[in-house]
Amino acid sequence: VKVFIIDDEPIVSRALQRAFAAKGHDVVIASSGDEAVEMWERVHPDLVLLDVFMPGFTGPQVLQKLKKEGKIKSEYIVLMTAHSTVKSREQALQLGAHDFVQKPFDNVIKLVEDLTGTVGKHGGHELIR
Amino acid sequence: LKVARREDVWAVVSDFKMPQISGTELLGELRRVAPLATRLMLTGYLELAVVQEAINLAGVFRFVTKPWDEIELRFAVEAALQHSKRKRENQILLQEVTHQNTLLESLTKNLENEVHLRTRGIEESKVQAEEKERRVRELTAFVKELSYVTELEDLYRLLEQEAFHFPSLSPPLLLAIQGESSGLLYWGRGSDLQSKTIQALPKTLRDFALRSDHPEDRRFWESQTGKVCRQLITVPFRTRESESDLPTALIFLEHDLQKDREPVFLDRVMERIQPISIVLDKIVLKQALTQATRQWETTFDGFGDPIAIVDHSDKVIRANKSFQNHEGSVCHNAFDNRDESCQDCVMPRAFADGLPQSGVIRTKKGHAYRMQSFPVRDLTKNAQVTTVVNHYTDVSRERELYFKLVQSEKLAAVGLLAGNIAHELSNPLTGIKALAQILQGQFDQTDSAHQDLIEVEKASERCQQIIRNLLSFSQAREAAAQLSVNVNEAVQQTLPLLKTALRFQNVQTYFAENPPLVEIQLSELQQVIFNLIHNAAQAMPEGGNLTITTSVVDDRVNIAVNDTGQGIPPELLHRIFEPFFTTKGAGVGTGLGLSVCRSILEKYKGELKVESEHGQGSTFTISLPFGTIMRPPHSGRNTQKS
Repeated sequence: VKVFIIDDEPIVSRALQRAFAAKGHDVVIASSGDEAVEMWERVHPDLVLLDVFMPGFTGPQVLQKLKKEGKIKSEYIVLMTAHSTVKSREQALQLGAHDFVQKPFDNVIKLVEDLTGTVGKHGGHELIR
Repeated sequence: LKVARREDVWAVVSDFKMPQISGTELLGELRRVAPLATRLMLTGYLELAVVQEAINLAGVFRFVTKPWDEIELRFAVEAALQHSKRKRENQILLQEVTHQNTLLESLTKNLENEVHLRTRGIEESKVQAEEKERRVRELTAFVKELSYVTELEDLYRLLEQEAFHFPSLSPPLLLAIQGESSGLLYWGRGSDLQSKTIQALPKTLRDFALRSDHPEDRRFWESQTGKVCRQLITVPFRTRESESDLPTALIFLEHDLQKDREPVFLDRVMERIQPISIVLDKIVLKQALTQATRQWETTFDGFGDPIAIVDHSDKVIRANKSFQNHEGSVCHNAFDNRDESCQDCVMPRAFADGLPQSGVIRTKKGHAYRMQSFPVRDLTKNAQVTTVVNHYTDVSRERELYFKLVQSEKLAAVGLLAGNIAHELSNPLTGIKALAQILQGQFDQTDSAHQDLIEVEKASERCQQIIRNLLSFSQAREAAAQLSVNVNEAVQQTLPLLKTALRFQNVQTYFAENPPLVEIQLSELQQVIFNLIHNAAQAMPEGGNLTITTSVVDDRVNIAVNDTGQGIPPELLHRIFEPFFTTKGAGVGTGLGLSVCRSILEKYKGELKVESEHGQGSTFTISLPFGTIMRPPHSGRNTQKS
């Protein structure tokens, strides 16, 4: 599974990268929303972990922009935030995200397993291709 | 004779022998016609008989013999004129004397009359004076008796006594007017005195002085006494104080006096109106005063607020029931069971400045009172401030609301801040925790690095907990789904989570039977209960009794958590709900627990109250309304993976 991690906090990206890499997944990292938009088509991810609160483009803004430009295909997009409310979850799903995880993760290893498992069933790019 | 009749003749000289009439006859006639004329007679010879006749009949003064000697005649005429003059003078004198005598006589007569009249007057006025003196004596006695009268009944007895002076007078009726149409009637004789309240007063009672035989008064008298009215005098009394034109009282005097006795009787009545009016004034004023005093006392006691009149030495002179009724003791002792003045008492300033003062004092039990102290000047003592009237208004609730308002504004700000902090901390913590978990797998479990990483993970978990608190605090203010919760169950489900914290304490629970369900999210209510029990346990580190009581009061369900710990000092009591206020050591509490609890409860229209006595322990009470049907629980779409 190709994982695209977008977070302005390097240690979060690094931890996730290590967790996914340990399971043999490809990981690409963007450290801001702007960078993520710019890299999007090149990366062509199966699974996207997108932080909500970032300087510049926020997570939802990134989604909006990509959606507007028709660049979202079948990527499994998961929003990450420390500030989790029912309302923010609903908003995220409306914007086209598939899931929502709260920071800090209870157990990052299990999270990686769950997400990659879900993407497998969901049908990532690899399967489509 | 013609001449003598015409003229004032002084002397007449007449011849003795004349034709037609003799000298004697002429002079005799002249004696009548002009008595003041002296009569002389000329005669040729003097015969005794002629002389006798002339003197006797004509009163001849002197004879002159013919032929007369010139000198002799002149001398005789001179003498006659002298004689006439004397006679005239005598006559004037006589007339004068006679006149004076007459005057004297009439004067004497007048004097006699005068004396007679005066004597009679003196005799009459003596009787009058005696009568008057008697009347004054009686009136004085009456007034003296009146001065002892303080009640209407006494007044009636006195009037009745007065009525005995007139046997034809019935016992009087005394009617004290008490309102527009009611009055109190006194009637009777001796021990038979009756009094009763009258509802139907005569209608024409306004503005009259004194009247007799008024038909309405007669009807009234007859209806009250059941007798036939002979003659009736109605005397109204008015007091100075009265604003109405209705009299204060009426006296009905029924009598059968003869017409000639009536003035005496009326005089007597009129003399007594003024003194009776004064006494009625006194009675009415006394009644008004008694009533006013009673009213004042009732009002004073009716005040929910404590009020006390206090003197210079802090002694309570008078106090209402709310002021715990410790009259005679010193005020701080009576009001708050203190040995010295209440802190921030404004009374000393009121005494010193002589101006009303106001401030807030706090009782030992933590109640806040707005205290107003009004100085009272004694005009008989140089207008010095001798006492103050203290009025206390319980402003605990007011102040609580005020602090809540301030607090809720603070909370809003803090909530925002907490949200931001939580987010800022969450990101790095996410990385730290995740890396610690990942790295643990790369070391052997016996490796000390593996243990170190477990410690890192634990520490980050603790940080996460703090952050979660912060977040729940900021989120507590947002509306959340509501569920019907049984408070007994909420308590029962929370207690097991606190087994460790409560290992030294005796826990007792008293549950209300089938309490109405309250609308709140169970987890949030549990969080509140958890916090309160946790705090209670921390308040009793050496052990103690923890009592949890659920109860239903009016339209609310209460959960009270009571501990027997140290209690909260009054000065801190109003601060404990402030965010970040904590008395616990660093690392033990965030100072958010109680403010989070309160925020959660307020979201559901609940309340969190505290009562605490320093050294005796504290009771925190959760109060939640019931009876409002909320919308069904909203689960949301929780797709979080964990």
